[in-house]
Amino acid sequence: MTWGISMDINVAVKPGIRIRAFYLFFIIANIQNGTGIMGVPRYIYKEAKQDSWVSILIAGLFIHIVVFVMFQILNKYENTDIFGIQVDLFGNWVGKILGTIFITYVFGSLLTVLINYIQVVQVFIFPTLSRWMITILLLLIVTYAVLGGLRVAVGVAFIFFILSIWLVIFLYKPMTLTDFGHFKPLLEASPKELLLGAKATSYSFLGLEILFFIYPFIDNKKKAQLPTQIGIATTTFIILLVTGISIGFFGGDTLEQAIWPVLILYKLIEYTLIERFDIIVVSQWMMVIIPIMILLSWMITYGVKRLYKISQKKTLFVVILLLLICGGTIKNQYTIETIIDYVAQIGFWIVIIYPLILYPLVLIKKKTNKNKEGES
Amino acid sequence: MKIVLPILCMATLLIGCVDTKQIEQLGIITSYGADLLEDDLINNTLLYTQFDPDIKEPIQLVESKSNSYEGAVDAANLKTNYKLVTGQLRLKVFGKELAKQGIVRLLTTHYRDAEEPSRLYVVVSDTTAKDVLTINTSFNLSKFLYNLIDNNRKLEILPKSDFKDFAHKYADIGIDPIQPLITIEKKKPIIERLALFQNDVFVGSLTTEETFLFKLVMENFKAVTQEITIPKQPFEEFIKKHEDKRDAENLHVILSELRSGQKITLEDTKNLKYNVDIKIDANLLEISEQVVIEDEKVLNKMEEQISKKINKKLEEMLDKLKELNVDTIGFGRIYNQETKHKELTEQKWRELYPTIDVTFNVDVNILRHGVFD
Repeated sequence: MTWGISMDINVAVKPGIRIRAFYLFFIIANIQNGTGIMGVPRYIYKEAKQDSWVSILIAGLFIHIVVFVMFQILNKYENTDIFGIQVDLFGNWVGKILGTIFITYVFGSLLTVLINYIQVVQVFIFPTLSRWMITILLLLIVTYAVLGGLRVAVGVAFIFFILSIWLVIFLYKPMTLTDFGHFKPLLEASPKELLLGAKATSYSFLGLEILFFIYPFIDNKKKAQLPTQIGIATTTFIILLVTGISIGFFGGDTLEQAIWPVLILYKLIEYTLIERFDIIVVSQWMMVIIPIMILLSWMITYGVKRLYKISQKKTLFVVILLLLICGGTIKNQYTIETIIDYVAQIGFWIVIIYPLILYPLVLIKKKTNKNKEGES
Repeated sequence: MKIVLPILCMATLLIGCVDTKQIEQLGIITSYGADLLEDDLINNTLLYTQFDPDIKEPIQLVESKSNSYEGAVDAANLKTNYKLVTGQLRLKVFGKELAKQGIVRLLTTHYRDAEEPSRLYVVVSDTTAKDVLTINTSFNLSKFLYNLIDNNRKLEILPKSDFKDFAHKYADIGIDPIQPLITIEKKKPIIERLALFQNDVFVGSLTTEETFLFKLVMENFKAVTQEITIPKQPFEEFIKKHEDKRDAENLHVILSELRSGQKITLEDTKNLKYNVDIKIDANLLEISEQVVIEDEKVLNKMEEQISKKINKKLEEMLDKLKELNVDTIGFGRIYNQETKHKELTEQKWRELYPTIDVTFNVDVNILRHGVFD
């Protein structure tokens, strides 16, 4: 293995495989609005009750700051990713261990997307369909796309985002059933409850970490911040929308018990031709999760290549095999919820809090470097 | 071409992975009725539609005994040669005796099971559910019952009362559900009253007239026709010719295109004083006597009499609701929304509710009175 071998901090990326900054909007908006969005109103409501919308605004604002900090960190370097930064800051060994933890977390995140979606398909459309079957079908597409490299992954994110965003429009129907009484009394939650509510949104905001991976591949880095921030704003808006409608429709206890309140909202939509809109939504949701799975798989393969110089193909097959085994065997609803909960907890610290800790360290490091240069 | 062929093959073969449901083999349940048996078991009556071309009667009936709704379908499967499916269930009828013990346990599956539909009506039968669903008719009974409720709801005669509404009001503290009550008249199911629930327990009913009053307080009318009876005496001088010789005391007025708006405010949180403002705009369509409406005075008098009457009726209705201790209008919810940091409990509100003090202010405005004076 190549454990001891030192790693280049900066990455050289050929112009041919770079992407335009503008795609960051689609990447961020897509990767965040995955399976988390289907259940997030419940988790926020559990903490902040009828003032959940305040929590979401707080969370959104905080994420904007985190993204700003992430760009500050990345801009301090020439052309690097999280692995390069960690090795630069903590040295070869610690940096690589941290990088491995990061990749493990991304794998966990990928796993939750898969098992959560399979569960939804089984609950809403095909209760008897084999889990292996769905897993294999999904993984075939993912493998095919990841083998195409980052540009394919980004392209899929771009197209599928446009092909699935229309689902939001159909929320107008449950919106008409909103009972505004459910939002009263206003501002009853204590600051602590509001913050806990904001923390509960974190699983939906995860995916942000892709910035740390994809940054070296961005062509026009100076313009990268704006599309990313708009992507975050979009996510905040969608979470706000679905939570608002969920609270308005369900109110208290029912919302706390609903596992996928957003899908139940879609179940309310009925047309003469399509009586069960939720089935269309669940099928369509595949277009939402496929790009996420592709992007996350790419992140893992890229990360392993960066750290250990193992070819991306090899890693991909290992990842796919692991996913296949997990996707086919994990079937207990409680187990799935526990895994999601763990990933959400760990993700909160790794993705949202970690950059804020990293930033001062980067600043100190850069300053000492400058001083050293000044001395010599 | 090299890629297209395998993809086509795969797509075709994949169909085999999913359960197929042939429509000829399905019995599609459209209505469900539940009655209480002596030993706490439930007697279920299921109406289902089948598409077998060889059988003349498309609507079939099957009965079963069980403890739950899904169990009922399961048990009924043993009595039919079709596979019973529930996706098109549109109506659940509950017998009076069962409804008196609570019905929510037979409805939870519509939250829990994603496969179950959520657009359905929940009604109470005045006798038993079996009586309603076994009415011998030449028409499609499930469809008849569904449209009976659906159309009357669209005509603004019935208040909001589907499953979603039931679930919503059942879940919220400080408001109780209201659902249609089916009575059998001349071997035909009709809606004569509305069933009042305390949580999910059937406790009493409202007449059609009270339903109108209830809707006045709860919802906005857009265009509805309503008959109102007012005393004749104040209009004696304006009556040209006595046409109604049958009733010497009262004047019957028909208001049409009635529009209304309401606002319920909690005036005093401590003493639980509520104010209900109701504004009615309507056209005068028909009077049982020939009252000459020459100037505004007559109209004003009429408006005054009508609001007085409605006011009185509203108070009577509220007294009835208070006596039954059902908060169908949702005063408790308003109390809960207006008071911070005091989580209202079910029990506490049941104690407080009979003590509330409600003032009704009805403002009637007659816009037009036809093309004759």
